[in-house]
Amino acid sequence: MLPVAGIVAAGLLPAGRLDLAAVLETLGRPFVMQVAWFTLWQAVVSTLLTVAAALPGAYLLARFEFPGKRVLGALSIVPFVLPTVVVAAAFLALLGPRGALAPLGIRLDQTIWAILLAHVFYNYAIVLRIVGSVWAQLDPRLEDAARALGATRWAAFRHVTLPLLRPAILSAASIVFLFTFTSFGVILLLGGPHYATLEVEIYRQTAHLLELRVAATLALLQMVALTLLLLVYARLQERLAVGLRLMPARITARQPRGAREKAFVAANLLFVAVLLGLPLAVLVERSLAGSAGYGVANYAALFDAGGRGGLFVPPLEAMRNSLVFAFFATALAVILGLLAGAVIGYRRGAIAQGFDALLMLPLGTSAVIVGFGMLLTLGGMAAGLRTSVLLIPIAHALIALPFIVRSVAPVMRAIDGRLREAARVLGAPPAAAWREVDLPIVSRAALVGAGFAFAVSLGEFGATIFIARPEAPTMPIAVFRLLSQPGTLAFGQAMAMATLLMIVTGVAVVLVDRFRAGSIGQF
Amino acid sequence: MLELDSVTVRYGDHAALDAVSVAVADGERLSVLGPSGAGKSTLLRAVSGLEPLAGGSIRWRGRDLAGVPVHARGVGLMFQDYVLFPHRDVAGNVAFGLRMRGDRPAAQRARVTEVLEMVGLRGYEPRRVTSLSGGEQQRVALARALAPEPELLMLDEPLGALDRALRGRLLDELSELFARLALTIIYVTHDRDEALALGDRVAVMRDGRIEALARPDELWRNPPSEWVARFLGLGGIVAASIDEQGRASGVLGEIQLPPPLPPVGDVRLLIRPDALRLDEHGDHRATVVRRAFRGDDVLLRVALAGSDAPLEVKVDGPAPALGDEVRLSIDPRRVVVLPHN
Repeated sequence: MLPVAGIVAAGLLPAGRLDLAAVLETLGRPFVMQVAWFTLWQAVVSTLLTVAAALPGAYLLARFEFPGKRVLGALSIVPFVLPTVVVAAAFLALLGPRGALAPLGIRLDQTIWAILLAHVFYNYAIVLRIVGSVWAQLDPRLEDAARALGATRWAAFRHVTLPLLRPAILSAASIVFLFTFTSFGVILLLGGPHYATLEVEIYRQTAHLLELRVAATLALLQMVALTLLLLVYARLQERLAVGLRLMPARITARQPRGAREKAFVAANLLFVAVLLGLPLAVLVERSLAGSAGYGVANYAALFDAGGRGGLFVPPLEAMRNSLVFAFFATALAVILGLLAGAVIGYRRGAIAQGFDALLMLPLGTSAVIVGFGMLLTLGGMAAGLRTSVLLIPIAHALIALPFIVRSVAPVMRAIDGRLREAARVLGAPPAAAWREVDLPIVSRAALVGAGFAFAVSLGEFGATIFIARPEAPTMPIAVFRLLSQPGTLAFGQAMAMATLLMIVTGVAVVLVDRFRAGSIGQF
Repeated sequence: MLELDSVTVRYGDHAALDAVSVAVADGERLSVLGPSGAGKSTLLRAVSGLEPLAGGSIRWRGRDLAGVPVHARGVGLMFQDYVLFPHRDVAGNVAFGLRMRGDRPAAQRARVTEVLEMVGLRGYEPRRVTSLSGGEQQRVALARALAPEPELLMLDEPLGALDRALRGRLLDELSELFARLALTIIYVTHDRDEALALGDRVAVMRDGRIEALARPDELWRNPPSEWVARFLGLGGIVAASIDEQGRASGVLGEIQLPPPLPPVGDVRLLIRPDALRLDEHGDHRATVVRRAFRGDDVLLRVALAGSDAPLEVKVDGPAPALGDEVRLSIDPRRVVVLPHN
C-alpha cells in the first residue's frame, strides 16, 4: 500500500498541499493525451490479434489428440512467463538492426508491428489456456445436437459453442488487455523513441527528465484507469457466469479424421512453431553468432570476470544477484501468500472479499507503479532501507504475491470441509486434522505458486529498473543495459544473457507446470 | 447404550433437530428414515460432535458427551459420498484412524489388510481412491470407518450414490457384516426398503423431529400418522367418519370395522393393496388409471367412482387393461384407521 500512497501524495500534494490545478495542467498537456490514446489503442489491437491468433489453437488443444500434445501444452506457456526483456531481445534478434531478417531487408523494430507481434507472442498462452480448458470440458454432444437439428458446422459453432465460450474468451481477453495496457519492457525496448505507453512515459519522466511530479500524475492516471478496468472485469465475470456442465477433457478429444482435419492440425502446429518458436530460436542463434562465426564467444565474455562489457560489474555478478533476490523474494512471497490465502480461503464475506481485491492491487497496478512508488516513498525515508539490498526482494515479493494467493486461495477454498471433519471423527485433533488434510493439498499449490514467484522475480524488469542500484543489477537490467549500448559485442552479450535468463525461467516454469494438472489458475 | 435427551441443533433460527429423544441399546441397529432436510444427517453430526447442541444432552454408556471433542469420541462415521482423502491411497485412507490413535506401522498394516478383506477389497492398498468406482469407494469408506474398531458406527446414506443393482447387493453384504460385528449402528437413509431391511427399529424423521419410532413390522402394520403412511407409500388413503358402532362411512360407502372399536369421529383410512381384491361381485366400482407389471404381479392404480383418492390393488394372473372398469371388494380386517391430523 505504501508505494501507492506515495504516488498519490506526490501527484496531488507536490508542495505539501493539495494542488489540483497543477494536476489538471499536467493532464491537459497534449503529449499526455497522445500517450494515453496510444496506450489504449495498442492494447485493444493487441488483444484482438491475440484472441484471433489463439482461438484455433484452443480448439486444437480442446478437441484433438495428436502426438506431442502434452509437450505443446507445456511449452506454450513458456512465452507467457518469459521475462519481458527476453521477449524484447528475441524480437530484436529477429527483427532488429542486427536481426536475423535484417539481411533480407526486413526490419520492424521501432514500429508498431514489432510491438503488436511481441504482445501476441507474449499473451497467446493466456487465451490458449483459459479458452482451451473450458472448450475441452464443453460437452461435444451439444454441438452434435445442434448439427442433428439441422445446423451447419459453422452455425453450430456460432450459435452453440461460441456463446458458451464467450465468458472464457472475454475473461482471457480482459487479462490480455490488462497486460498489454501496462506493457512496459516490450515497448521500451522495441518501440524506440516514437512509442510510449503511460508506463514507459512514467519511466522517461523519472529517469531521463527527472520530472517526478509529472510522472506521479501519469501514474495516478494509470491507476485510475486500471481500477476502472478491474471493476469492469469483475462485473463482467459476475454477469457472464453460466452454469456449464463440464466434463473431463479426455472424453472430448479425439484423433483428427480426414484430410481437412489433419491439415488443420498441421497448419496450427506450424503456426505455433513459427509464432512461439522462431523468435526464441533466433535469440539462441544470435547469442551464438559472433564476429568470427558461430561459437560461445558471447557466453565466454559474460563469464570473463575481467571484461565488464560496459556494465558496472561483471555480468556473472548480475546472475548471482538475480538468483539471490529471487530466492528471498520467493520465500517472502510464499509466507505472505499462505497467510493471505488462509484469510481469503477460509473466511467468507465482505472482509475476505475486500482483502482479496486489495491483494490483486499489485497485479493491477503493475510493476512500474510498484517500483516508482517505492522510489518515491522510500526517497524520504531512512536512507538505510532505500539503499538496502532488501528493497528488490520486497518489491518482487509484492509483485509475485498475487500469483501465490491466486494459486493457494482457490485450493484452500475448494477443500471439502467434510474432509477435515472425517479426519476429526477418525481421531485427529483440530491441528492434526489441518496438518493431515489441508497441508498436503495446499503445499502442492504453494509449490506451484513458489515456482511462478521465482520466475517472476528472475524476470522482473518494470519495478527493478526504478530501484536497482547501478552496482547491483539483475539479469534483466543487465540485458537492458547491454542492449542500449552500441557495438556488436554488447549485442551478442545481451543475446547470451537473455538466452540464459530464458533457459532458467523456462526450466522453472516447465517444472512447475508438470506439477499441476489444470489450467493457469485464476487471475 | 446411546441416549439422546431433547437434543436440539439450530442453524440460525431454524431448528435442524428439535428436541429429539431416542435411546439405542448396545448392539441395536437403528435405521433413521426421512425426506431430505428432515435432520437425519444433523442427528449423526450431533452424536459425533460436529454440531454443537443448542439444548439437550447425549450420553454414551452413561457418560455425557458434552465437552468431549470430536476426535476423542471414538465413534465411527461414514459420510455421505464417502469424503475419502483424495491425496492418500486406499491404505492411507483406511489407516488414518489407526495412525491418529498411535498404532505402530506394522499393526496398522495388519489391520488395514484385515478390514479391506472384510469389505471385499483384498489387495487394494496401493490404489488411488480417485480411480475407484462408486461401489469400491463406498467399501473403502466403510473400511476406514471400521478400522479403529468403533463401538458405535453411524452411516449417512451409504448406498445413496450407487445404482440400483449394486445397492441391492451391497445391502445384503452390509446386513451380513453388521450381524457379524455386533456393533451398535445408526443407519441414515431416505430409502424405505433399506431402512426396513437393516433396522431393528426405524425412526422416521420429519422437520427435525422423530415422527415415528417402531420395529419395521409394527411400522408397516400400524403407521402412527397419515404423514408416515404416505411417506412410506403404504397405500391409498381416504377420508371417513366413524360412528359408535364402529362403522366407517365415506367414499367407500359403509364398512363395518372389526373390534377393538376405533375412536369416533373423522379419521383417515389406510387401504393397503392387501386389503383390496378384484371381485366381480364387489361393492365398489373403479377405473384403472395406471398399470405396472412388476414380475410377480401387476400393481393397478384405480380411481374410485366419485372420489379422487387413488387406491392400489395387486393382481396375480391376467389383469384388466388401462381404462377398464373394475369392481373391488374390501377386507375390513385389513383396513388401518389413522388418527386424523
